[in-house]
Amino acid sequence: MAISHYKMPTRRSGLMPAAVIFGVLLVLQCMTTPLVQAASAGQYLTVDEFLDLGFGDDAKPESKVFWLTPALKARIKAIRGKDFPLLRVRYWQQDLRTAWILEEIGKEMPITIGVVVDSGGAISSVTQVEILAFRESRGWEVRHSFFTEQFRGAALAERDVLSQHIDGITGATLSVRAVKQVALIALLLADAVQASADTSAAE
Amino acid sequence: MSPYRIFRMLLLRWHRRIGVVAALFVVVLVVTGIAINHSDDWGLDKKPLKQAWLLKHYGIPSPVLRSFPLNESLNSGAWLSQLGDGLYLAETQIGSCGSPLLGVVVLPETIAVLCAGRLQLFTPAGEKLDDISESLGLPRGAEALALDGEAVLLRTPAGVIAFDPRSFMFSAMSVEGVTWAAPALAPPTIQRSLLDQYRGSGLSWERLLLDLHSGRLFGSVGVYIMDLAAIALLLIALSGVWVWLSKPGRWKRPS
Repeated sequence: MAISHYKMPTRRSGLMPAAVIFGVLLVLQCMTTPLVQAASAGQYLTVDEFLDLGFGDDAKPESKVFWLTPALKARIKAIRGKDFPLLRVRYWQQDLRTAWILEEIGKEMPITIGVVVDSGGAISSVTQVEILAFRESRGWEVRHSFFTEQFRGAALAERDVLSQHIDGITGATLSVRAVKQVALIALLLADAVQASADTSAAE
Repeated sequence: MSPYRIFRMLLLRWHRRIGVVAALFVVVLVVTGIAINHSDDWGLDKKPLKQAWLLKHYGIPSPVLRSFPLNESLNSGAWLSQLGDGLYLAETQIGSCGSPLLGVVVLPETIAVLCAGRLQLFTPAGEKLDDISESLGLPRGAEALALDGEAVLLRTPAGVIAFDPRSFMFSAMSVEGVTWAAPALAPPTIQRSLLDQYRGSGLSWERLLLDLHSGRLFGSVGVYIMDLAAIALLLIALSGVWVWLSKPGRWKRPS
């Protein structure tokens, strides 16, 4: 009799909960991925917003144009590994502070990068780096302050390298390289502007 | 008749049949093989393919040529064109533009070139002065260019915007009766030259010969057909040697 009431224990498969969890994660991934991408690539700052950050809200930096000399183009080419495409560069200046907005290719698309350089000290140094626009699907982490803050105080060392180490970001190697190159070029240009101003003053 | 003799006759018959079928492939392989060996000497590695049907077969579409005259005389060499991603001043590539060319105007000492989302300024010699994207302040949706004195006018969904290339300032303005730069058909010499340059950077005759030699020109089927042709040639060689060796009386010593 006891045997007739005995129920064989059902063997519970461990696969079912795992499959449910995997399915839920998959759905969440599908739901969040477009949002993450939409929030990552795009225009983060306008030119005016960047200048406000670099010079302060009330400042009125003057828009100027700097014509590149062959020697400067050669140094920029050494940094980029290819020719600089423009004959002149637009920049903004107030007192000894200059702001540069340059575009550099990350992997395939240009990243619009703004760099503020202060030439008031013994040597020019970076005071601010901002990513104005990012157009690729990977590497957008360079826009975050944990990365851009590393450039604060960076100057031009011998052989045209940055005076301080910049930590990379896994999966954003090319974007990191592009930002470092633009910071170096901005420092070079700021020094050249300052040297040009010193020469004019001496004359 | 002995089985050995029957086998020999069968081999001879198939040797002839395979030889006839393989003849066509032998001609193709010999001609293309010699040409590939001498492609450097004959310049085939640099000579571009111009045949539209062959380029189409390789998946290279005929590019759209869009040109704007730089002065009133439409027959002069002063044209700015876009072919593929390349921007050309007359017949010389001066830059690139990944979006459609929308307008070109000539200022004193400067040529302003508008592509979708990008305004570029060049010197009359074709050196790039400035490259202003929408991130750098170009008004969104700019779709046409015109000239107003020394200012460049941009037609945007928000209205007409004037651009001062000296101060880099964009400012809204209300004007009427603007003549916007319009594309026109470049002279045939320029069209031919640009198309030749575009194709020149694509496929060479050497590539075609290599693909014909390997059969890849006809896809994976062509490769298998060339494999069969190679096996057929091997069979012809082996059967020919066998028939020659097994000829009755071949190994008899003259008495």
